[in-house]
Amino acid sequence: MMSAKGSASHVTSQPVALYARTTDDYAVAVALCLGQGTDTAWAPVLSLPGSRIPLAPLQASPLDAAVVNGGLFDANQWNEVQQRWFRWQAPRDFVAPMRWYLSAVWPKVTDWAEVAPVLDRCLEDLAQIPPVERAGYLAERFGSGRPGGAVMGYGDAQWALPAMLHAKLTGRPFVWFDTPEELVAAAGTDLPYVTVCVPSHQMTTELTHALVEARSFRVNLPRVSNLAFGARPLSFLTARTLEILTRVVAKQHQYVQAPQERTTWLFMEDAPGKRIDPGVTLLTRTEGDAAHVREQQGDLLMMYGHSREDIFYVGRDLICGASHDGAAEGRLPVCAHENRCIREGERIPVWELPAKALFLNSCSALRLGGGSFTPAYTMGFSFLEGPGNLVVASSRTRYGDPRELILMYHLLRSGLPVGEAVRLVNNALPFAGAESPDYLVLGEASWAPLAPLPNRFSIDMTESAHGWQVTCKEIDAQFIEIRLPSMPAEPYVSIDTDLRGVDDISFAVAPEPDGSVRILVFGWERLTLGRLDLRISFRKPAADTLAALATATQNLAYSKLYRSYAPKIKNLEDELRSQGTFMARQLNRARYQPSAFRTVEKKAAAVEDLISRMNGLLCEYLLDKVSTSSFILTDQYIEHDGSFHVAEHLPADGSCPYCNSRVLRRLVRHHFNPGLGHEVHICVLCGNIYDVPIGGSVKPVLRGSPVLVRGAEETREVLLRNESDRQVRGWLGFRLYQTKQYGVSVDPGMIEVTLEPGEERLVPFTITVGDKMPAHMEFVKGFWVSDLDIAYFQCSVWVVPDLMAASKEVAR
Amino acid sequence: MTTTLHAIPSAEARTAWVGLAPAERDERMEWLEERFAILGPVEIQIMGVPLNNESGLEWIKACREKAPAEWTEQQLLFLTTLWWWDLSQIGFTELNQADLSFSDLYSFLRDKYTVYAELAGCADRRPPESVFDLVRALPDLRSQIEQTRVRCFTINGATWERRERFIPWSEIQVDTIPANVIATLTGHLQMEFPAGGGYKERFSQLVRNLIDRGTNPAEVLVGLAHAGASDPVLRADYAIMTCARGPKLDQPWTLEYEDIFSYVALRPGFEPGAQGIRLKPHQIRNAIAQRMRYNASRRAKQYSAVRTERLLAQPFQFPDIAVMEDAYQNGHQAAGIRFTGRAPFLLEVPVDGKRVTWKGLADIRFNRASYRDEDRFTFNELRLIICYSLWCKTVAETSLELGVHLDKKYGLNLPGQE
Repeated sequence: MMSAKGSASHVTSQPVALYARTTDDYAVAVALCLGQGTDTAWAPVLSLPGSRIPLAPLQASPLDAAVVNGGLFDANQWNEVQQRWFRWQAPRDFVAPMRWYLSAVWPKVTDWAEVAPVLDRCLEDLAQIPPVERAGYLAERFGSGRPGGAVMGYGDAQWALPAMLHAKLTGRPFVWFDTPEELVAAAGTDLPYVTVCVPSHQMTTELTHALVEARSFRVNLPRVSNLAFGARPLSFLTARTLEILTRVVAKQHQYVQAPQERTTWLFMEDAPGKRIDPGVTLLTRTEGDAAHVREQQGDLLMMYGHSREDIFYVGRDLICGASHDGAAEGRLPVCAHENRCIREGERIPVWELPAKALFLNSCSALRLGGGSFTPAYTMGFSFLEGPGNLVVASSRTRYGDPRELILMYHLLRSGLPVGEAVRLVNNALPFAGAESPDYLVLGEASWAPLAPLPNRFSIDMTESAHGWQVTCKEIDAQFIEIRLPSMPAEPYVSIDTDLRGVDDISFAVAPEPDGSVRILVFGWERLTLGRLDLRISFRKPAADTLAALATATQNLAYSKLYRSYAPKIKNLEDELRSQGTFMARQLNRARYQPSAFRTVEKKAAAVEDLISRMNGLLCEYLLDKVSTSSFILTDQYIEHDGSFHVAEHLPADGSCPYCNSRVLRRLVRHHFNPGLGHEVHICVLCGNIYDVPIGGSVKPVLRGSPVLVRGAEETREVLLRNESDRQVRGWLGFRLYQTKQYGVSVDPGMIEVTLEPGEERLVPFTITVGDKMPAHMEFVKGFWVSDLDIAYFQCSVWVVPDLMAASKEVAR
Repeated sequence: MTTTLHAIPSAEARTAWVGLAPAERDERMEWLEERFAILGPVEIQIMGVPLNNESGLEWIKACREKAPAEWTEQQLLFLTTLWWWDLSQIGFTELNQADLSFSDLYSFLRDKYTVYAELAGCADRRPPESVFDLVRALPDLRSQIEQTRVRCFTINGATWERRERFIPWSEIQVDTIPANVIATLTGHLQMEFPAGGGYKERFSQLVRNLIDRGTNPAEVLVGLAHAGASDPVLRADYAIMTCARGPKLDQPWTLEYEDIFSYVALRPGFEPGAQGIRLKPHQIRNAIAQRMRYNASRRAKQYSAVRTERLLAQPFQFPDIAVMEDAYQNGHQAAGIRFTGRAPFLLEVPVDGKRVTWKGLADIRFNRASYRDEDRFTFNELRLIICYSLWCKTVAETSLELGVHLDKKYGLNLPGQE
C-alpha cells in the first residue's frame, strides 16, 4: 500500500474490494478491516440494493459471500463485531464513532470485558485533550509516532465509517468530533495533511470557510493582509451520499498504487504555437467539442473555461454535472423539469469521463456547502460517481487565468501531493492577478496523482539593493523554485537572459507562514535551459516613473486649466493616457510575467519624457504670465476652473521662510475629488508665499538678499529639497512680477531639475534688473512644475536705485 | 468558535461515592435498589458484562457490602448509572441494550441536555461541565418542556429499548371530536352527544345526562372503546380502556381486580385466526382486560407505605408507541398484542373532600395484531390516541366527581364466556 506521508506501511498487491449491501454490514467490515495489519488485503465498499451508482472501476465482490466462505476473515470474528455493532446502537441509535474506531484498532482483544474499562478510560482521556492535539495523541498511543496528517470529521456517525477506513488506509489517525466547533479547532493542527470528513448534508459554506481559515495564515502586506493564505494542505472527504463516499475511499486505495502519466488540458481558449509536455494532450477552443473530449483518456483532466456548478461549456456541447440519481425536490435544473438540456449540443455526464482527477479552473464547480441546485447537480460531487476520485475546483465565481492550470500541472507533475500543489496555487493567486485563494480539494490531499518527474537545476543567489540576483543553470525541471527568506514587499521577477519564447515564462509568488516566500518560475512545457539569469525585485519596475505617471494622471483633473495655458497639452494628455494604459497593462502582466518587467522598464524613458514636455509647457506659460500680467494661482482653481473651494482653514504658524512671520494656511480641494488640492500659505507680511500641491514633495525657497540693485546683474538661488522617497523631475523658474515691461530678465528662464529622494539642491539664477525698473518693492513669483503638479512660491524683493541704497536696505 | 473540555465521568463518580458517609451511602443505595426493583425489563451490558433486573439487584446487594474503592469498574459504572438516572429522572430503560461505558453514558446525558435545552427554548445554554450538575439540571429542563409538550416514548418490545420524544400540546386537537366517534357514542348510548363548547364541557355534560337518565357513565368508556376499534385513522384491531372504577381511591395500593374497569373492543369483523392468533375473540377480551386490571393494581403498589409492597410494583408509563410487543410475553403472543399505541392518563379525583392526583390507574391503548411494518403506530396517530385518553379522563373524573363509580360489571370478566 502506498500511504500518506509519514506512514511506513506498504503493500505489494491490489487489495480486494468487497461490497456490502447494508450500512450495518459495511460498519462491521470497516471494523474488521481496521483490525488488519499494515498490509491491507481487502477493503469494503457500500452498494445499496437498487443503487444506480456503478461499482466500476472497482472490481468488487460480495461481502456476504466472503463472510460465508471465509478466507479473508474469520466468520466468528464477524459475528462478534456484528453483535457489538448492533448493541452499541443503544441508547442513541448510533454507534459513537470514536468508540467504534478504538475498539477496532485496539490491539489484541481477547476478553472484551477486560478491555472495555481501559478503552473507556482512553475515550475519557481523549475528551480531555484539546481538539487540536487529539490526532497526535492517538498516533502516539497507537504507535505510529508523529503522523503525516490526520483524518478528522464531524456529523452523522455513519459517515465516520468510510472516514476511519480512509485513515487506516492512508496510515493516519482518525478523530471524530461532537461539534463543528471542535472540528474547526482541531483543523488548526500543525500536522501536514488534514482530511476533513463532514457529510454533505451537514456541510455549510460557513463551516467550509472556518476550516480553511483554521489552516491559514496572514501576510503582512497591505494589498493582501485581509486574505487567508494556506498554511498547510486541507482536503474534504465527502460526497453526495454515504455510498459514494465509501467508493471514494476504496478507489483512492486502488489509485495510489499506480501513479498516473496522462494529462488532458481542455483549454477553452486559443493557444497557437504553444509547446507542451509529451504526456499532455491539449484541446483548445478549436477542438472544444464533445467528440474530442470523448476521445481523451487522460488520468488527470484539467479544464479552463466557463462553467456553472452543473455545467462546463465545451463549445456548443457541455459536460453535465447531473448525478446518476438526479433529484425530485429542491432547486432543479431544466432537465429535471422538462427532460431536456439547457443547451442543444451533446451532453457528456461528468461521471462518464475516464479521468481519476479533475482540476476545474472555472466557476462554482465545487459547492460543498449548499449551491444553487441540490447536490445531485454539483459537478464536483457527480464526478465522484464514476472513475473520478478527486476534484480541485472553486465554490464561487472567479476571474481565473490559464496560468493557474499550467502551474497546477507542473506542481503535480513534479510529484507534489495535490493538497500541497493547491496550497501553493491558492497562495500565489493574490499576487498574480485579480483572484484570491479559493480552490478546494474534494478527495485526498496527500495523494500525488501523477508519476513524478523531479526538478533538476542548480541555483546561485546574491542579495541586491531591492531584491536578489539569481542564476539558474542546467535546468531540467517542471518549475524552478527560489526560496527567499523574507518578503518585505510584493516581488517582481525579470529575466536578464535573452530567450526565445520568453513571453511564455511565468512566475508565481507563494508566501509561507514563516515569512519566507517561494518564487516559482515555469513555462507551458517543462523547462530545459542551460542558464537563466533572473532579477527578483521588491520594487515595481521603473517605480519612480510609475509614481510620476500616477501623479500626472491624477493631475489631469486640472486639464481644463492646463489646456487654457497651453493648447498642445490636449494632445499630450491623450498620449499620456495611452501610455498610462499601456504601462498599467504591462504592470499587471509583470505580476506574473518576467518579460513584462523589462517592457515596463524600457517604456519608462518615453513616459518620463512625455511628462517632462508637459511640465515644461506649463512652466513656460506660467512664468511668462507672471512676468507680464496679473496672475494669482489660487484664483485659477477657485474662479477659473471653478471646481475647487477652500475646504479647511488650518492652524496658523510662524514659519515664513523669509520673515519668520505668522503664516495662515488653507486647504483648497476639489469638490468631487477631495484628495486633489493645494495648500495655500499666506504670510501676514510677505503675502501668498506658497500655493503647493497637498502632499507635494518640493517646496522651493528663494535664497539670497531680498535687495536688487537697478541696472545690476545679480545671482539668486532657489533651494529645492525632495522630501519624497522617490526621484522627482520638474521644471523650475521664477520672475519679478509684471516686470517684463521694464526689461527685467532671469537666466536661465527655466531649468529642468532631477532630484533623488531626500536630495537638497541650490539652483542658481541670474537676475538682470534694467534701468527702467522703478525702485520699489516687488514680488518674485516662481514655479516648480513636476508630474503636472504646480508648486508656486513667492517672496518680496526691494529694487533700489544704487549700491548705497542697497546697503541701507540690507541693513534695515 | 470556542470549544469546551469535557468532564471525566469516572473520576467524578468515584469521588462522589467515596465522599459519601457510609450511612448516607447505604441509604442512597437502598433507595436506588427500590427504584431499580420496580423497573420493567432491563437488559444492558456494563462494559461488556451483561446485566438484567435480577443480576442488577445482586450487584447492588454486593456493592452495599463493600466500600466504593473496592468496586470493580463495572460495579462503579452500574451504581453511578443508577444514581444519575435517579437524579436526572430519565427513563432507565432508555439505556436498554446499551453496552454502557462512562464515556457513552456521559455522551447520552449531554445529548439529552442539548435536546432538552433546545426544546425548552434555551439552546444557547451549554451543558454543565460536572456530570452531577448536568443530571440535576435535566428534570427542571424537562419540566419546562412539559409545559408545552407531551413526553412520549417509542418502545421495541423485542429489545426493551425505548426512545424519548416530545409532542407539542398544540398539535393535539382534543376539542375536535371526529364525527365517527360521536356517531358511535350516540348509537351505543342512544343519546345525543352534547354540542358546543370544548371537549371537557361536552363529555362532562354527556356524563351528567347519562346519570340523570340512570345510565352508568362506564358506558361512555365502552362507547369510546368501540369508537376507537373502528376509527378509520387508527386502524386498530383492539381498543382497550382501563380505569380505576372508584372504590378504594383513598388507598389505591389496596386496589383489586374488581376495583378496576377494563374493557376491550375488537374491530368489527376482526378474525383472530386470520392473524395467527389462537384465542377466540371473547378470550382475547378477557385475557387482555384481566391483565390490564393486574397491571393497574401493580402500578398502584407504588403508593404503598410498605417497602416490600413497593418492591412488587410496576413502573408508571407515558404515552408510547411500541413494536414487537409479542417478542417475549406469552400473553401478548396468545392475544396478538404486536403493535401498540398507548396513552395513560392521570386521575384527578376527590378523596375525603380533597383533590388527589393518581398516576398509573388509567389508560387507553390500541393494538394492531399485524406483523407488517406499515402497521406500526406513528406519532401522528399517537396524537389522536392522546385525544381519546383525554376524553376518557373527562368521563371518568366527572363520574367520580358526581359520586358515581364506574359499573362494577366491568371489573369482572365478560359473563358466560370464561
